[in-house]
Amino acid sequence: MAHILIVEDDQDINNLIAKNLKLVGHTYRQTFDGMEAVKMITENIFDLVLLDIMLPGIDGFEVLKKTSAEPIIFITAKDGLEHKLNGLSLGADDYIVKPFEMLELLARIDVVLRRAQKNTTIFSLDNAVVNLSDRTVTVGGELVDLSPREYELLEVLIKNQNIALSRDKLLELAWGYDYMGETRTVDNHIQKLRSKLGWEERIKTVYKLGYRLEVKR
Amino acid sequence: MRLKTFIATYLLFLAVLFSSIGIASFYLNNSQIDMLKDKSTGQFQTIVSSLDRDVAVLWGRQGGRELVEGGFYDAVDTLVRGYARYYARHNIDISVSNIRLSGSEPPQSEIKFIGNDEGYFIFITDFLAEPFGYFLLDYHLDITESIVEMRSIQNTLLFSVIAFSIIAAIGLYLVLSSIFRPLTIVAKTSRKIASGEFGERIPIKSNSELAQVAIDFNKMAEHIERQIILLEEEAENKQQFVDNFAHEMRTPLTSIYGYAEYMQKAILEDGEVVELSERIMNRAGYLQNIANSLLQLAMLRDYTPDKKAIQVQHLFDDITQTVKGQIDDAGIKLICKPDTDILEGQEDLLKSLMLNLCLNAIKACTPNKGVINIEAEDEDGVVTLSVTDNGYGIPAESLTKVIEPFYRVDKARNSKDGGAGLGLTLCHKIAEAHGAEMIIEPAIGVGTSVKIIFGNGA
Repeated sequence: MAHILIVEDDQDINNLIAKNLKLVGHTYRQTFDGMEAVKMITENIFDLVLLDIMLPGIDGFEVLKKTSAEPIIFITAKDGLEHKLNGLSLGADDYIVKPFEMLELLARIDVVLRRAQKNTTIFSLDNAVVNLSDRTVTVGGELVDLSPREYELLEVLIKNQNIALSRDKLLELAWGYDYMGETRTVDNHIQKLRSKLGWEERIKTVYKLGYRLEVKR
Repeated sequence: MRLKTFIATYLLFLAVLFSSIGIASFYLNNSQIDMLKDKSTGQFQTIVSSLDRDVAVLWGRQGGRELVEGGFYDAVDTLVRGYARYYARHNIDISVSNIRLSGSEPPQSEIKFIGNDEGYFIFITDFLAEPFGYFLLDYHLDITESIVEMRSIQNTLLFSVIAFSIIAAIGLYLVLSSIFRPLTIVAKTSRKIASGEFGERIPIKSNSELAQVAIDFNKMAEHIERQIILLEEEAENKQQFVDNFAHEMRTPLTSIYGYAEYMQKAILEDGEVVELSERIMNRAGYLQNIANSLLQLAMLRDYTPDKKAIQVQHLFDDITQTVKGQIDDAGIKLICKPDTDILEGQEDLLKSLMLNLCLNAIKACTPNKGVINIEAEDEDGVVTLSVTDNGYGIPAESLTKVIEPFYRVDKARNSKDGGAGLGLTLCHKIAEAHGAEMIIEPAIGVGTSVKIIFGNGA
């Protein structure tokens, strides 16, 4: 997955983002101040920088001006349009307003990484290998035949690995907002994925919630 | 307004002018004619007495005989013709008629003025003295010339009066304009102020009564402007407060939501439940603190403290006891100098105030180097409480702002030190409720000194 720098002065939020990045398999570094962020960006290579605007020392905009190469997502408590435009015109790739849901942050990270072509294209677990760029799945080298909807569901699970997703959330992410299906449909598709990929022990049913693709690290 | 005044004044002026001109020319006319009549009467008398004498002489020459009466009449005719010739040069026609000969009803002796198409005339008719009373003298003076002359004088007068009126109109207009100019400026300025340009003022030039009006008007405008600025500032402060409040709520809420979401959805390692729920509880506690502080702030608005005599020593002991754990942990020295016994105030509020100041001082101090002085002194009945630390101090530009709600010296410094930026606001409100003044100033050397000065008898 990707190597991400988290620049956020609120320790709780910084740690929270770190925990979530870790869940889906990203690696990260954390910093709580602007000057240090500039130093880390110039001395290391990151696939993405999550940048808070209000920072001690120098603010997020200043940090952005001093760096250039990496994709940037602004994290901001100010939802004023002015700030958004300022952020985007300075070359940020996206912004997210506090408070945000972790799934939303992860989704945005995924979009920005894909746009920058820095996302992982191969995911392998046990005998199954999923090629995310040409949408093919093999188990033990044998190509597995998945319906488009099954593939969508698989991708959602991989992108949100180690995170429990409710049936409603899965419907929304894999089928789309306007799909009026029943949660029973999700159960059927999960069953098929489990048997086709041999992931009976990997896709766990989470009591009262939904499903989680568990990847031990 | 200006136009109305102009028209009214001008009409009044014209009315007075023309009526006086009219009356004047009427009397002039009459007196001229009277004068001419008098003159004519005088002339007539001269002619009559002269004729009397001459006719008497003629009569004597004729020997007074009846026989030659006809000859006498002719002689009188000749005489009168001579007179007529002489007086014709003075525009006077003279004729004498003989009543005995004409036999007509003798007309009354009279004097009259006649004006018609042919001109203006004065007629005088009278009889000669007896015994020649049957001769009637007609005097006929042509005064057309002098009347016409008089009329032309009158016309000239009229024309010059009209010309004068026009000049007066222009003059009046200019005078009114200059009188009304200040009013026009006042009107223009008040319109501008009404449309929102509150900085507009009337320039003051002279010392007239209008200048006084302008001064008063400007005072009013200044007052309005001040009020508007105050209102704007207040609105801005409120907006700032709401913005800050939203920010202060969001940050902990993001944490609380995020950690709860994580606990729900992730695979938790051993002990992680304790760690995460600890964070959630901590953030919830922080929100609780904000809520309490805000409630207290709301309560303190227009609050009259329940004042009682407080033992300063007791107050200081209480505070020392409360912060003991923290100062021991940080290795900070706390020195109390209660140089006065009694303080008037509401104990719980003043304790909360002093405690807040102490906690701020502790946060500002470097561990193991910090020294905090808590003092109370009484100078001529003015009690001063002070908390002085040798910590990192407050930048000069922030000194006046630290009492604003949610204000933080370092804008980006989040709630690592536990405060939402309401502590000093609360302290200020408590001091205010006690009629005391809170002064925050840099301490000598390093650090900050906060003084609460209670007014006389407060």
